[in-house]
Amino acid sequence: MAEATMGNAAAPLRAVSMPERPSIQIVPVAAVPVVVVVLGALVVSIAGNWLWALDFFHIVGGGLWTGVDLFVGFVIGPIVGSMSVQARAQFMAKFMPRMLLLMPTLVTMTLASGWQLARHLNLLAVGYPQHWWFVASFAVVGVMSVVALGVLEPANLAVLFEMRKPHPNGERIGRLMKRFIYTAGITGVMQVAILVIMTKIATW
Amino acid sequence: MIFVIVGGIYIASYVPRTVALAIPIVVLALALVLLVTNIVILSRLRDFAWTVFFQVFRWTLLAYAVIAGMIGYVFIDDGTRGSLLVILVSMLLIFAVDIPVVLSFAVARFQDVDEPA
Repeated sequence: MAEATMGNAAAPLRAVSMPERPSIQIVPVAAVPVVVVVLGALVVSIAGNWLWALDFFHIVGGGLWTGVDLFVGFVIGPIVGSMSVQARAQFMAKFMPRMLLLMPTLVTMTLASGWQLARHLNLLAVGYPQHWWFVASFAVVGVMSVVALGVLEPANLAVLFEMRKPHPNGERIGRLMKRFIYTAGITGVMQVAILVIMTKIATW
Repeated sequence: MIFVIVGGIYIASYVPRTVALAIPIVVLALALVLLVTNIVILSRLRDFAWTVFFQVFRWTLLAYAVIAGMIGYVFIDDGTRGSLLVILVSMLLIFAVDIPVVLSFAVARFQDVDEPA
């Protein structure tokens, strides 16, 4: 499956300068107030150490983050890889700006509330060998951060800017999209590891 | 970025116990050296889409300053003080500058070079 996906994603997109090029808004401005409200509520719940809200943010944020990553990595990615050039470009033009706003918000929600929750419930004070599960979760999140911030997000942004050009370079878009699909798969695998760790911690 | 994340994981793995600061300080110094080196090398580029670079840099810096600010707030709210707080805030500052540099460079390298003034 991965081979087929990568092969298709790598196919040159010579026809991206198609007649019906999608108009691209890099950041969906209309959704910014929603992000501000979510982050504001997160700050309030951290400041008040409001257990229910912290739990809510961690579970909702983590569930969506994991779900979106797995869905993109293992469902959307292979489908997009097999689409025609025009369909792929049109899909990405609508999909990537939303991801650009959604994913950092979900990640911030999950990590900030999770850390505060662990502190509040004194979970971080558990001794070894149980503490290794926390260390493992930090390491997995660290790897995901490096992949997402160092490879996935730059590729995402570069594709959007390339698509906005009057004459986009199809081969370049294909190369960057291949990188996007690969890294989405890697973060998907990391998310499975996070699921194992978190369910283990929750059932001590 | 990798050094900052490694340093952050190292410190987080000790909380709430006392953290030996030698390793975080070394990691922080390495991260700072790499960031400054990157910026110096970047600033020497002549044929480069600086307009696009700064366009992306401004907004991503704002976004990551907010994220770093929130993380910093959590540390302070949790009672982190002294040398450990200084190291963590320094790491967050590097993080908040480094990610926008990476993102802006990734976009600008594929854009048309600015016309000379």
